[in-house]
Amino acid sequence: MRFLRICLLGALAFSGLHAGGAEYAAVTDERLANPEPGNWLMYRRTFDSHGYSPLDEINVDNVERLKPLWTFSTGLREGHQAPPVVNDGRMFITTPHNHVIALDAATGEQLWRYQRDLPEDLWQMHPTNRGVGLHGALVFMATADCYVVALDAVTGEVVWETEVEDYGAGYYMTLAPLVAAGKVMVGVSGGEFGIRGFVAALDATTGEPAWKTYTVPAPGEPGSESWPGDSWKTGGVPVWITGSYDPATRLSYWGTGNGGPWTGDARAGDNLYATSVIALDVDSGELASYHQYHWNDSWDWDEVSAPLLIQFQRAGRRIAGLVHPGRNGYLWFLERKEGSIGFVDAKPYVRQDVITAVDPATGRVSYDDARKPGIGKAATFCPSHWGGKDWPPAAFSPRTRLLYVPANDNVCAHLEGVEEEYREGRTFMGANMETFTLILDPDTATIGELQAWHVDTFEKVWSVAFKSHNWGPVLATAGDLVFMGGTNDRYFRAFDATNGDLLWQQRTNSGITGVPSSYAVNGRQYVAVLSGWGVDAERQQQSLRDLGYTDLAVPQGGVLWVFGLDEKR
Amino acid sequence: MNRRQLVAATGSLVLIRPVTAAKPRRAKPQPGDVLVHAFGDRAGVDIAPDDIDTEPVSAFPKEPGSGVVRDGSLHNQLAMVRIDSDRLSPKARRYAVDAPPGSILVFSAACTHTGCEVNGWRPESRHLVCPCHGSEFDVADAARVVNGPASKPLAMLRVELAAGVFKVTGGFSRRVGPEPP
Ligand code: FES
Repeated sequence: MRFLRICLLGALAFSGLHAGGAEYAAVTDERLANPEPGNWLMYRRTFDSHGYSPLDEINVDNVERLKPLWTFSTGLREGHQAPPVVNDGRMFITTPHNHVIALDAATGEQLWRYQRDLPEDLWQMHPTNRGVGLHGALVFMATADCYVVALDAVTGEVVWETEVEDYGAGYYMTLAPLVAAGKVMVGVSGGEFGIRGFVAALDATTGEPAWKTYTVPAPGEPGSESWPGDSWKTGGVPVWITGSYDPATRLSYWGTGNGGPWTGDARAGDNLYATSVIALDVDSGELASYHQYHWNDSWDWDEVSAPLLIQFQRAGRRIAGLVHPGRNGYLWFLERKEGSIGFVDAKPYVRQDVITAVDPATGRVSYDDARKPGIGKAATFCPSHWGGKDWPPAAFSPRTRLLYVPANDNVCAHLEGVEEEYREGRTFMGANMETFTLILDPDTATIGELQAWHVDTFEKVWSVAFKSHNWGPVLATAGDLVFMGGTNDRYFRAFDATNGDLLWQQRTNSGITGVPSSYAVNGRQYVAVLSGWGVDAERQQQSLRDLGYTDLAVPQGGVLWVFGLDEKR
Repeated sequence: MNRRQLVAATGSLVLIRPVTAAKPRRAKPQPGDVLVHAFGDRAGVDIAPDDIDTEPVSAFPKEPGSGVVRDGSLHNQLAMVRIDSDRLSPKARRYAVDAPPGSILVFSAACTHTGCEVNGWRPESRHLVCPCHGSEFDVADAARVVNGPASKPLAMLRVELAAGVFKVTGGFSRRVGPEPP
């Protein structure tokens, strides 16, 4: 473990109300737990990861008047995935290659721009960044060279930066930090590079390391029996999407990624805590409980999306739940209990041919062994390694009680494992790249979907399908609208949250894989999203092109779009 | 202050720091460096022409005096490939070393897309393949991009065959790895 902390300006900025001479509304634990309706202070706006805005000025009755008000070009290519985070009229976005840009959220005026000076020999398998975290008068970004950088929210100056791990050993970071209880919490990417994954917490004010909890136990620790030999040292299990947080129990909930190498026979066993949800105490980092969605992952089905914290009904009982549309193609309902996570129910939401049964008591899955690839054993399986839903977050509206899932159906994959020697900092996937391919039925007409599931009845209420695959994060609003891009035709769309009717759409510069957000300044509601296609959306596009399913080329280049109602009418 | 620094300090805005002295493992390949096996049982051993058969061989440059292998950066990792001399494009021919049967070409293993290690190989088409996003580079045509998101060829390194080992004689043909954003 290497934590080298470089404190550049000291701890000057934690109240910072007048830093740089400008007023700035300091971000407190209370505001993070209970944000004003007009603010979007974190990745999914609230700790429960609902991705829901209580603003309703823009609604089903007037959304046809939604117009672009201003745009901002980032000047960068690749995957723009960050939500526009807004605190009292100041917006913060991040870009691939780790720029942070502060803008006036009403006018689009640029306030400052920070550009990370990344090492020349850094590799980026996933050139993207998923946004900032806020605390006090600081703005945090987790970087591709595996640092957390704290910037002064008013000036953009570096206040502190802390190295979390060595990028040379295959570690990198793309997620938006989770900021809670005075800590900045981050997880690491690198599941394709033989890392040993972890979640780390830093003191939000000073950057001092607080705790680090590995997602792969060392010999002797609970769960270590699920890893043979030395496989734990290079077992992967990255954490690359922001966790959820329950302030009442002080537990953070994180989704964990694939084991490494990809095929499970290279690390025979359940491989705890891969492809799981883990509950970590924010004060100590201690693992309080977990649930593994599927054991001995062999399909690259990272279950990194954090579960949504939703109270749902089952059989007349109100359950403090965890809800997770899995990359493995099942929609999972779990229960937060004292000291454990209980299984409630699960069913497939896309075509799934690997899982043959789910134990009704424990949720443990059984497999069709013919669909489980191994070393020298090719297998075809559905959904593909990009899953029923990859990282783009689902949203929940407490008004409709519907969960909105950005899904991909009808796509399968063919994978064969190969023996691979571990080399520090190099890819460690153990996959035969020659034969690795997507599989489509010849009559496939649609892939991408937006599905709406009622959380109390566990029924699919409506679904919209697209020819294109879908990499669109979802925003739900109190105007009973659901916003999503994600398709290769470059549209950003608004749907009626109750029935899925398409109410509005805007073609943008590029494809949208950015997390949309909504906020208000001086009483006016805005919807904002980054358009900028890249990373896995582009990679899947290319695979579908190779199969002759599409011939579209999606242009790259990031542009922030900000929409509001046309006031001239 | 040596002459290089003096020129830099007085003649331009940039102070050139001599990286080579400070971090030899990360320093770029230098003329006179010998190419050695990068991985496996023979890591660090000089590569002979016969070591390169139908599969590419991974290499690092080694400083001959100190014996330091420059394995501290992916930007120093090389892929050495044997190919029929009559398949070479004119550009590839300028970098090829005659080593019967055929010629040897030395490529940077850093992908020009977003910098991953290019470690895949399609023997029938003689394409180097990047596992990260599937870019493919045609070895015979100086690593021209034939598929995938990369838009620039892999860099080639100029070497010579001297006393049975490969020695670096010049720099790379182009920028190693991706363009800066
Ligand atoms: S880094 Fe090689 S194809 Fe993307």
